[in-house]
Amino acid sequence: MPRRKPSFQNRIRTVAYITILLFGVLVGRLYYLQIIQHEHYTLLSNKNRIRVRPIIPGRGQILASDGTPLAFTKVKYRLMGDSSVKKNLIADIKAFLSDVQYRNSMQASLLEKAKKTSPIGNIVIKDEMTWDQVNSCLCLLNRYKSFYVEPCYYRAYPLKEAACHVVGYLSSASDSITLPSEYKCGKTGIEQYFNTELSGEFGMKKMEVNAFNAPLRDLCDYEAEGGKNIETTIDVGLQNFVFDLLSEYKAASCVVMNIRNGHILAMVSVPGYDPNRLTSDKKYWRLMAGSPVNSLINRSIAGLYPPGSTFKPIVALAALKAGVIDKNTKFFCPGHMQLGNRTFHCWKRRGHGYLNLEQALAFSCDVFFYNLGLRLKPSDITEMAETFGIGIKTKVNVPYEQPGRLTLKQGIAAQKILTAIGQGAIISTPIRLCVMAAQLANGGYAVYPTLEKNRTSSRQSLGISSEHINLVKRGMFLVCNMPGASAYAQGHSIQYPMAGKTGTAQVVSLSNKRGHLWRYKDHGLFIAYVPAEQPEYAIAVVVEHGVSGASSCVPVVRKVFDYISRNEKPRLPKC
Amino acid sequence: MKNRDCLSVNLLFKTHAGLILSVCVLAVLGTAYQYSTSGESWIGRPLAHALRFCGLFLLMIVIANSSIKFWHAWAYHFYFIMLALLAAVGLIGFIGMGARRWINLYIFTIQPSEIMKIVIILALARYYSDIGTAMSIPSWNRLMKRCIVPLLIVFFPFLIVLKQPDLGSAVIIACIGLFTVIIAEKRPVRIFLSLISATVIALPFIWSIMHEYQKNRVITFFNPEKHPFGSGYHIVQSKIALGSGGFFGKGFLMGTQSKLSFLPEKHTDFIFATICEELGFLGGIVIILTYAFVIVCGLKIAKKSKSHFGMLSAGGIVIMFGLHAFINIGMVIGIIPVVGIPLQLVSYGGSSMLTFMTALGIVLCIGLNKRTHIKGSC
Repeated sequence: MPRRKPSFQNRIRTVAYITILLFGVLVGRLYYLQIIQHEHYTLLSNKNRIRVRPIIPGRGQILASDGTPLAFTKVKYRLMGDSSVKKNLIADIKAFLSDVQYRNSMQASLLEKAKKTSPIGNIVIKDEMTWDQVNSCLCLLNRYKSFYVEPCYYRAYPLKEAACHVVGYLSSASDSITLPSEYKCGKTGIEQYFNTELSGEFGMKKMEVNAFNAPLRDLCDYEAEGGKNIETTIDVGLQNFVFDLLSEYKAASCVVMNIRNGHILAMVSVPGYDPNRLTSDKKYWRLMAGSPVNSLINRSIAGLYPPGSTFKPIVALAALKAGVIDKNTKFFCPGHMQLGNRTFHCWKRRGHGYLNLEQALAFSCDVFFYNLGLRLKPSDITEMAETFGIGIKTKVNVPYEQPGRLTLKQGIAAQKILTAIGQGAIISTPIRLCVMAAQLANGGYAVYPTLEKNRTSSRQSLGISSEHINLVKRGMFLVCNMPGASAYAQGHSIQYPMAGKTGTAQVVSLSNKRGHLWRYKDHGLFIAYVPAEQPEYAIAVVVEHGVSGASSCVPVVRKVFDYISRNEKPRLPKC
Repeated sequence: MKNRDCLSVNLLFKTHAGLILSVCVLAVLGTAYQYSTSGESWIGRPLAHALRFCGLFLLMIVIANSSIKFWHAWAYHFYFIMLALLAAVGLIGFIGMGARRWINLYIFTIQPSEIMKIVIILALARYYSDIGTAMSIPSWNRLMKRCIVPLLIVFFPFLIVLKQPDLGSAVIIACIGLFTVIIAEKRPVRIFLSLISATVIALPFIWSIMHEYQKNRVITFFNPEKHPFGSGYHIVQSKIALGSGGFFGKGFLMGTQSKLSFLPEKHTDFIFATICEELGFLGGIVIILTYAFVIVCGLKIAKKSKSHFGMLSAGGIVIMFGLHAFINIGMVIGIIPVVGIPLQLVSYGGSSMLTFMTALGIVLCIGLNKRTHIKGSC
């Protein structure tokens, strides 16, 4: 007995030591977690409780030159169901459905949605309500406690199809994971090009949330800064007018520009789409995206066409500069030209006879320019074309512009000949052709097309002899004003005389006409400026498969200039 | 008689003031944190906790003034009554949180497995004090007497509780039983080794009868960050609560992890994390030291007791007390798998408090009766 007592006490002591050891482990671990790892866990704790939500700024408007909005944000209202107390919401929806007639399928889906939502995922009861409908809903709000009205923002495009390509449209920023899904960014046109300016600065809302992600209180707010308005050079009346004119064609485009400052007054591409419906209506989107004539493409800046005879003034300038011809040099046009074993036809099978440069431009004689092409070095043509910007982007304020192309190889005579009449190795966009016309019209000064109203460009010479350019301009004047010339029928006796150059670009060769299918017909082109003496406006029109420039494009240009002279009298000097 | 009672109460407060004060500190802290976690309202949990403590504190004083002989005499009876109750829970008990643990006594509900813990200690203490130290028995019989029978005393309740299923209580019952056997035995190391080997042999068997969620807990313990929103959620959030508390804590009523419901079971099993978030490392140390102090006081009482029954009972109860605190805190700070064990006297829960106030009452009783000799012992 006396022996056991101490041994038991020893065991108790052992228990005490073990206790100290184990509790020491607890203290050590607590020290590690609370002192050493304190900052790490503070971070995690804040991550748990603090949610940062971006506040989306109001998007700026896109305005036409006279201040009419081309794109603006419209407020609509929607009736929402607060799902924080789900039981109440479901009861309210049931009561609401029995009061208001709703389609059966909608009833079921609404209830289904209400049952599925999380406490923060509020549901839409009724979308897109006008203010009047909201007023009629206000009495409902008293009866159904879990309903509330929320504003939601839509982008509206009052010009619809007429300005769709140049203005663009909005859609969710799908490629960005950092931006909230409600934020819409510009997908094309001015909406995309000026997206940063239009978007403004995001605000930020810091909130404390609980474990169910329900916000409890605001910690701090940073206000969003609304986007700026973008003033464009688009003339609403002209844009609509041009669109109506082109609408009769299946596919066409037109650019109207102020030569003095490069302001684009109208940029139309047909067929268009309705940007109001494009992103909200899935069916419509599929229809547009899959259309065989590519409605979504802005043909004015991304449509590539052989310029055809509209390129002849450049070739003429190149020949004059190279000294191949002068003002009086004449070539004989028998209606065709033999090169090796190939025959190159003039568009007029009977031939034009003897022609000088002015006449050749006026009648658009192909054989005359075959001769120039034969005598010119490839570099002569490409240099002059580059001076006028062929193959280079105009850098207008619309995304997805195509540069076009001119690639002449050394020593292939046939390619040179074809390029001299604007076919073969050359393709260009309508806006480039318009700029080309403007640069011819102002006597060889650089023109930078722009959609920004407040931008002015410096006057910069392209380094072309004014004598040469006046000669070409004379030829272009004759195109519209000499009886029998290519654009005389529609182009003469206008209030302000115009000058221009028609073009017809072959799609398939003459010997290979496969019936009269639309897609094998020639493209029609026309570049022009008005008034011929002191040019103010330049225009380029392309009608896809329009058979010829004279028949399809000149009437359009004529009407456009008529419209301009009707509406902008003070700015045009009398001749 | 009345006079003697008064005297012993005075004596009790004089000689065991530290232990009693520590218990009160823990209960006050518990009440404060029931207030903190129940949306800062006194109605409901904090009031219930405080009232329960007051009632059970009286019970503890009464038990402390009872005779140690009574517990010695009734140890086996209690054991069989509780065993029967445990078995009855399996049949007529109602189900709460997926397990059949509670029994409805129409006034309140109790968990027999909680009370079983004390009763096992008493039964083992009685057993060892009864068999004394007779060494002259042949070895097979000795083994039977010294090892197999005590193990069976532990094994039956363990099995029933495990099937409820209540892994935490089952493990605690097993541990309490084993440790009591160890401190009772003469050559503890040898027996301890044999018990360890027995446990190792039993492991695959235990694993096979464990429930899926119990297995998950063990798996999760070894890799909590793997499923931060699944079975590892508790421990991840608990560590965030503790770690973000720092040295001084976020301040009373200022804890975000508990207030914003990120921390699960914030007022019961994980109350230690709640407290450490708000009171920091300092608060954690105070709690751990308070528990350690109670243990030290208890061990002193066990050491001073003259009777074998008293020593073993007090020792066993102290071990049970320490084990509970260790497992709960260890679980909250992520060094032990998550088992559903409350932090006694602080966590909300009647059964747990009843058990521990009774147990501490018995320890105090042993402390007051340290000179009492019990027939058949020593």
